[in-house]
Amino acid sequence: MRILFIEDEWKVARAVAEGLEREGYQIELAHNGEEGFFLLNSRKFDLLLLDLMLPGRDGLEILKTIRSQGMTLPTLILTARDTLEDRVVGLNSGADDYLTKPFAFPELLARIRVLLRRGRGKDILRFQVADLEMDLVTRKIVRAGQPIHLTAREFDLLEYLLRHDRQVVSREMLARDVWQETNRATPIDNLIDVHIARLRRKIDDPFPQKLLHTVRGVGFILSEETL
Amino acid sequence: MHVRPINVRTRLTLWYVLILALMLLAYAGTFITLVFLNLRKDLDRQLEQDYEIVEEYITAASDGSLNIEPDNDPYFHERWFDIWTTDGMLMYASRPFSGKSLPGVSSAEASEVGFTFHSLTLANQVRLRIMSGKINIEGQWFYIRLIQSEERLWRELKVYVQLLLLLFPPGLLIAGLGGYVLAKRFLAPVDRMAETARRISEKNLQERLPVHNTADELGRLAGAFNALLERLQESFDRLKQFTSDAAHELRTPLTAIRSIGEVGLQNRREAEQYREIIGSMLEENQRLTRLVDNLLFLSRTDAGSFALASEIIDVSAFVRKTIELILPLAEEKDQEIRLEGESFLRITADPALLKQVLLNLLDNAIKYSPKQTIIVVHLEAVDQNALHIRVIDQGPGIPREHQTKIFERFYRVDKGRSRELGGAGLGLSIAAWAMSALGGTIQLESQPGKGSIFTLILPIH
Repeated sequence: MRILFIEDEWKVARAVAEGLEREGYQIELAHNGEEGFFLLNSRKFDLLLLDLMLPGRDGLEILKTIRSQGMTLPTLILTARDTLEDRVVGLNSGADDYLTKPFAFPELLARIRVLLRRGRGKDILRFQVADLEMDLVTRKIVRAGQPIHLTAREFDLLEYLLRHDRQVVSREMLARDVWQETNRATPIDNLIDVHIARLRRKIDDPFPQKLLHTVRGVGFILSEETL
Repeated sequence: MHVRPINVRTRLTLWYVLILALMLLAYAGTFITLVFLNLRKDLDRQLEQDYEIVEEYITAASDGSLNIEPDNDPYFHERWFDIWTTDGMLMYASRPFSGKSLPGVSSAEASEVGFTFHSLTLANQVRLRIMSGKINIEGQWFYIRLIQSEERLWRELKVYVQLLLLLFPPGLLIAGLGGYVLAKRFLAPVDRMAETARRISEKNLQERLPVHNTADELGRLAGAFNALLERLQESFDRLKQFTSDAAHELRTPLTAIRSIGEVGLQNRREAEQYREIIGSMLEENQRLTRLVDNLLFLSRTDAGSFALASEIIDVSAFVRKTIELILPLAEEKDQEIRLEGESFLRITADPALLKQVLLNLLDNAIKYSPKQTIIVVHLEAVDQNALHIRVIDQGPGIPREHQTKIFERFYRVDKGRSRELGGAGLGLSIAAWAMSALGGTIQLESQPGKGSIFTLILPIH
């Protein structure tokens, strides 16, 4: 999978590129609009990461141009401007998704996965990590053969972690996707931590192998490997 | 031609003088006209008297000739009259003056009925007043004209006009000067106000315009101006305070990131220790991010660019759901949250904003109340038009001196302690803004040592 990242802030670009390469993507960097536009026209990419405020050629301008040329590659906009109007303008110009800076890397990763998978995603009805299993049809959770009872919120939380297994999930992602709390000015981080602790008590505490890990400063990950 | 703008003082004076001149002109015109009419009436009366005297000594012979016997008239030589037949033939003419150029009488004129008065100007510019008409002398009809010179009338009139014209310019001049001086005196405060206003900038916003008389227009203008300055100064101070507070708040996590990083680099460490250090730095970064999110939210509310949703909310169910959301935090401290009061209340409001306010108050209540206490959320409709949502806690309460300031941005009762609990002192100011955006208010009653009651008051319709 080849990703083009057009970003003038070199530090951000390099860090993101490194992170994505570790995830197995091939990254091409362009640090201004002209360069990015040239690369888009000369090579084939599967995804475009686009910063909106660029020297030379504005991100929205690039997006409008390539869309008018008939290029359909999925595009994720990154920007520091986050008013509703900016979002609407971005999406109307042909962006597939929109992420506000500063963003959490796990979130970026999750969005990229969604965009690349789009169209061929199949509904998964069973999840398994190590000896932890979740059945979405019967809504039963079993670990090492023992049934585990969760509240509705804990169930949603575990399902989300399972869907993103082996990926770090940030608190922002949980707030938005599990709690449906889109207002960033209403922090519910404490609440998330409490629920994670409760979930951990039920799925990890009675067992020797721990699956739900906290990545300090980043978020949570459900994985059989210890970090 | 370039017209220089005239100042108000001069303009006022000019208008004043112009109006005065128009009024004087109208007055003079009326006066002169009345004098003229009066003088002419005197002249007409004199003509009538002349006629009465002349009539006495005119007799007609049977052959149609006239006899004039003015024996008893000492002024006969001064009287000026002529007599015509009704078909326009001159019968007799008395010419005391050199009125040779008096026109004759046509037969049409001579056959007019009744007496008339009219004025006439001769070719030599002599103006006359004529009374004419048909008279019957011993059964025969004649046409008589009696004439008086108008020269005396016009001379008198001219004297009046000259007199008025003579008084006119000095009168106007005096009035104009007086007006100018008065206008200057009354407008002097405006100049002083302008002078002061010019000096006021963001450096000395505390200066005020001089107010001489609060009751008059200029005093009210200065008062309004001062009130404007007051508001400007207040918002300016708030902005300054906000900027400096925000910078201070940003400093704390920045300092933490820097210290953690610097200390982390001091020695060679294990990978696990580096993870801890980076994680700790990322936590500070998250705090920064949240702070910036809040600041952006506030700046957006200040700019007024905030689109409000409007939905019908079942208050009781809505509050219960919000309590359920945050309940785990209370459970961690063995606290109980009770919902009391009326159910079946409905309001129209923005649910996201209301939820934010409620979460904020509940979060504070949980945070600051001791373990194993009870938090009550009480719903009540007051007078059918106001919804009161009370959040009652058994926390430490808020000291009186902090109670009014608690809704200000960045204000914290106990700086050290609250930061430990994760706040930047923006929650209540955001809540207060949200309540005003919802058309309501937020109130606080608190007794130190007993607890606090935050009351949200919302319009029901």
